[in-house]
Amino acid sequence: MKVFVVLSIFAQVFLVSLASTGNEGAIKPSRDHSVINMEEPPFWLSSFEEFSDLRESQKEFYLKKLDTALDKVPALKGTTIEDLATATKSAEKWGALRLKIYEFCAEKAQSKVCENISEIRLQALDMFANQKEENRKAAEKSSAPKRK
Amino acid sequence: MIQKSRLKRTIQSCSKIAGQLAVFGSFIMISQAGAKVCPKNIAMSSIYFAPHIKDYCPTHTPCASFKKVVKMQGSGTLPGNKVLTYQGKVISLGSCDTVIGAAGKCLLPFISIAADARHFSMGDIISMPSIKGKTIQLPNGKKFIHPGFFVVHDTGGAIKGANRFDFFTGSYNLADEANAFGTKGPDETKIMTDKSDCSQTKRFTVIRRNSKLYGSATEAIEKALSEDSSGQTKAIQNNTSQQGIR
Repeated sequence: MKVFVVLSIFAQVFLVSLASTGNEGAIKPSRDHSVINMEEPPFWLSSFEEFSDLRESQKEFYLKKLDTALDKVPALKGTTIEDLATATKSAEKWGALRLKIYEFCAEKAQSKVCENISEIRLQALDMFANQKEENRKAAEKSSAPKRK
Repeated sequence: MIQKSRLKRTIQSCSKIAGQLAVFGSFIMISQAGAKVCPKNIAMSSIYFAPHIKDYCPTHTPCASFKKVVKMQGSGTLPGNKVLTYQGKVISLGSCDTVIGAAGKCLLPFISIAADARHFSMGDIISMPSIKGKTIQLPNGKKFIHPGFFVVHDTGGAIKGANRFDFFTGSYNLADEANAFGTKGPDETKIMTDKSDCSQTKRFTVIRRNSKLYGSATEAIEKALSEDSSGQTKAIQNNTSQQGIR
């Protein structure tokens, strides 16, 4: 009977891990600092192309939030919103900014700051994401306050 | 002695109850483990569309059936490149004659897809070889030969995971007979409506923006759409930021 109980508990843990497949929660920073591939997830910051295609209201939102968030990135502390706006006009400048963020986020210890930065990108995209009923319900559910 | 046997009986009862709870819990977990999850290289797909008023209402005034489907789909298109949102707003889409996605680009029927922005950059391309060469009818009546590539132009709250995609089918709804990805489409493509269908037909690979294959994939898409002479190539070329909102 004891063996049965233990096996059942083990089965539950296994099934929970299966259920969470494909529903990744927090974005985890890369552990390999030597290779930073900005074309693969996690996407801490939009690429120049992705940002350039956004609508004006999305860009405005993005830069405003980013300006605050970058205060926690030592290499980018003091960056002003004007600096960011200038960077948006040059693929090279934006790429340099992006690399600094990715290098910072390669450190596991910075995960909270980096999640915040990546969340800004997701929020900017969500501003004009598809709004069919299923998506609206899912978005409401994920933004509902969690029960304690 | 009596206490020992009583204790033994108590332990046995508790073990029995715990065992039964564990089994019950396992059944709950099985049911909540969800709808079938496909392997990571198989797309879990569904479709979405932007209804056009002409398919629902006798005049250009939004009627009840159109408003109902707009509420479900999030938006619907009106004449003159305008869109009616589920909130009742009418927005201009500039030169876009479908709707604009999260990426800021005009959505292209049977090319644009919504994907999880945690796993994809807007503009990433999904290669699905099984679709290549299929003749697809567009909502404007023209046909094109599918290049086998799709572009991430959108996202959505329910689109979560590295293999979850929502395929845009223009103004074609799920049951439209002309919708190749709809429930009445050919067997090999109607499975796009079923996210629990994990057949090999939906096997895909990702082509990231700066990868070697990106340029040729983009060219293949442009070529396929330019050959349909429906004006969709114009949509690609003019796919710069628009002022319209969903």
